[in-house]
Parts: sequence; structure tokens; C-alpha cells
Amino acid sequence: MLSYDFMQRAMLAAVVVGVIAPLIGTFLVQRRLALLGDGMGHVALTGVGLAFLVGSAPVGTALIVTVVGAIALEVIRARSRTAGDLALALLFYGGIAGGVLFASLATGSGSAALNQYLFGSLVTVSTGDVWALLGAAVVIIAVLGLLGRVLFLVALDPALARTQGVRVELMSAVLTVLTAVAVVVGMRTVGLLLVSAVMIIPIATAQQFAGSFRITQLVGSAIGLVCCVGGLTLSYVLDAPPGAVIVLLALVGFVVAAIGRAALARG
Amino acid sequence: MPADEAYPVTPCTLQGVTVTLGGVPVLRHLDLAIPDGDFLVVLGANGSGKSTLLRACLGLVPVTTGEVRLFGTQVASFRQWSRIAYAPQQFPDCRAIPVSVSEFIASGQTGPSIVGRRNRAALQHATVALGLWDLRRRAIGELSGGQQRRCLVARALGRMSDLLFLDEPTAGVDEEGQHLLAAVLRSRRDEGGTTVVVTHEHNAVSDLATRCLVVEPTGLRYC
Repeated sequence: MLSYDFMQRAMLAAVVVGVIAPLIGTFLVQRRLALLGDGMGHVALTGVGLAFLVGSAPVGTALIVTVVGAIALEVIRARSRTAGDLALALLFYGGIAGGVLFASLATGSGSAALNQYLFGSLVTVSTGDVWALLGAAVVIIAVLGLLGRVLFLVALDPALARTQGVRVELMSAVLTVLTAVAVVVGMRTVGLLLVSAVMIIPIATAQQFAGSFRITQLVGSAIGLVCCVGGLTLSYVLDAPPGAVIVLLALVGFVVAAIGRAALARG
Repeated sequence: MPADEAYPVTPCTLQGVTVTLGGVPVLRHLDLAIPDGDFLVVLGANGSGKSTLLRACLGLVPVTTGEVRLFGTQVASFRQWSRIAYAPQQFPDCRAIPVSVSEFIASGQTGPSIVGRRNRAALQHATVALGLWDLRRRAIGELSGGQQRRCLVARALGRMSDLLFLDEPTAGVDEEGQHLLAAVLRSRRDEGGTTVVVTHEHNAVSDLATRCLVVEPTGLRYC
């Protein structure tokens, strides 16, 4: 299977998203923002549609549009009286509508092309995409390395963070932008509609047994890796969209862990 | 523990401070100075505004009139937050992701710098002194209310601050825990640290007071 160049690229992309997405997801779950990745996925759709329309590279365009969307979301939250979930809803709708409109205006790429980005694709990951994903992954890991403790405190106890001189709104914006970048990292293999699941489900699985934030994060990342690599392999065998297989595999893992925990608690 | 012995600055001052929450004035034209080395105990009935007073000192609630200064600087432009520690009354919601006791206590040591610095000795000292060492690997959500309260205080103590604010540190803490707490705070007081404790009850901690005041609807009354 890995003798095909396209599969090597897809596998590399899957490894990156499997490891990275749960690292971000831990902070999102702690902040009760599990759906933020979904919102960012919808915004990325506008980026993909725009790329179709103007003929630019989808990954790069989606990255720019999603990061701009992330910053817009934080500005709306901080500056207006709009509630957080309402601001997110506005982005959801705007993102989908923009993506569909731009893609339909573009000539030459129909709904099939859009589907690759919605649910992931094995065959369309280009060498340029792989480099872009690796670059984005390095940025995410570097930012987490530098700001991980601050992000943890903001997620845990924002009021206390203020009394420790942390700029809470800025750190919220950093997390939203990281989420946006992670969404674009997962866009090619898992797809925009399901990438958020790779951020969240491995964390839900890991927290069944973990006793600390760090363990949850690391075990979640390992689970994400296994699900993405396993799911991609299965999707090759089944000839099915990788996003759906990866997410179902992750859900199976969660159900097994939840049952195992219940059994342990009873036994 | 003043930063500059030659020019000791009052750690916290309130001048003519009024705080209004939801249209209702909670504190009215308060004047208060908390000098260096003070161990101030703030008493008062539930809803008297004790916690609001503390939160106003920290800039967590806006003041309608007057000004709050920390170490001589208006709280809005204050930047030396590493000199301040605060244990809030509310325990944060830790149910979403398991957080271990040691992670929770260490979370107090993320300064304003980009890369959080850690003073492991201070963390360990605070953890041991409050009787939390054996619990350090447990998920904090599994602890009792009194143990969680001690974790809040340990997190603040681990910051080794010049000025420490504790909001109801003894609520739900058993007698043994209260004595542990009192012992730590006594040595802090004797070393010259400035501490403000808000409480609704007299106990081993309030006995440490160098000054004691009661928040009443008419204003502050020293006792």
C-alpha cells in the first residue's frame, strides 16, 4: 500500500493530524469549546471555495481564511455583546454559505472536488500540501511548547489567570488560531466536516482512565495517531472516504474505553 | 518582603472606592491601606461585600469611584503580578478533563512571561505544608471540598508572593487542615509577608491577625 507515492503522502498527513489535533483538543474540551473546531472547519470551507474560484492552492488559502476567521471570532466575542456560542454560530453559517457559493461560481470544479475537502481523500494530497502541513504542525508544537502552561491556566481558571498578569483574551485568541491551523492540517485526510472529531474523540477516550491533564493530552495524542493511521489503512482497503473511517474507528475506541471503565468501576 | 528596602511601598491602598454590582452599590467610599507585613483579617456577614473588596483590590471588579493601587501603581496599569497571589473562593470547574493535584498547584506558577517559570522548591513546600503531598497524583475532582480548598491555598502559596489574598481559605476545611493552614500562614507572617484573609468565622487563621476589620453596610469597622 505504501509503495504508492500518494499513499505515502496521505499517511504522512494522517500521522501529523493524528498527533497534533488531540493536543489542541485537550484545551478545547477543558474550556467547553468542543465545537470550536467544527466552526473553524466551516470557515475553512470558504477558503477552499475561494481557492477554487481564484485558482490558488486550497491548503494555503484555507489557512489564511481560517486564521482570519478565528481572529474575527475573537474580536466579535471581545468587542461586541454577542455571546460566544452565537458568534460561533454566525461563523458556521457564513463559512458554509461562502464555501458553497464560491465553489459553485468556480468553473471546472464541481461538488466532487468539494467532497474531497469535506470528507478527506487518499489520492489528492500533493507534495506541497505535505510541506504546508508539516510547517503548520511545527508552528503548533512550538506555540504549545512556549505557551502550554499559560493556555492550561486560562483553560482551568481564567479569573485567576488575570491576577497572574495573563492576557486572557489574547490567549483565547491564540487557542482559536491554533484550532484553525489544526483544522487545515486535518483538512486533506480527515476532511473539514470531521476533523474536529480527531481533536475531541481521542481526548474523550483518554480521560476515561487518565488522572491528569498531561496524561490525557499525551494518551489522547497517541490514540489520535493510531486512529488516523489505522483509519487511513482501512479506508484504502475498503475504498471509502478516510475521514469517515478514521472517525468511526475513534468512536469505537471511545465506546470500548467507556465500557472498560464501567466494568472496572463495577469489578 | 519589600522589593526595595530603601523605598517601602504600601502593598495595597484603596481610596474612596465604590463598587456597584448590577446597579446595587456593594462597597461605598472605602478607604483602606494594607501596609507591608500586615496580616489583615476581613470579617463580615454573607453578602456584606468581603469578597468584592478582595476582588476590587485585584482589579477583578471595576470600581465606580475612587482608585485601587498595588505597590503604588493603579491596578489597571499594574504589571508586577508575580508579587501577588490570590486564592479565590470559587473552586474552578475541573470536571471536563482530569487535573491532578500537583498540576493544579503548579498552575499558580505561570507568570506574565511567555514561558512559565517554575520554582519547584516552593511548590513542594506548599504541597507538603498543607498536607497534600500524598494526594499529589490524585485527580483533583475526586478530593473532598476541604481538600480542594487547601489546594487553592497551596497554589497561591507556591507563588512566593509579597502580597497574598485568601478568600475564605478555611471554609469546609476540618480542624486539622485549619491548623496546617494556620501554621503555614504564621511562618509567612513572621517572615514579613503581607496577607489579607477574608473569612466569615473566627478560627485558627483569624487568630493570626495583626489587624481585623468588619465590612458592614455603613462601611469598614476595625475590631
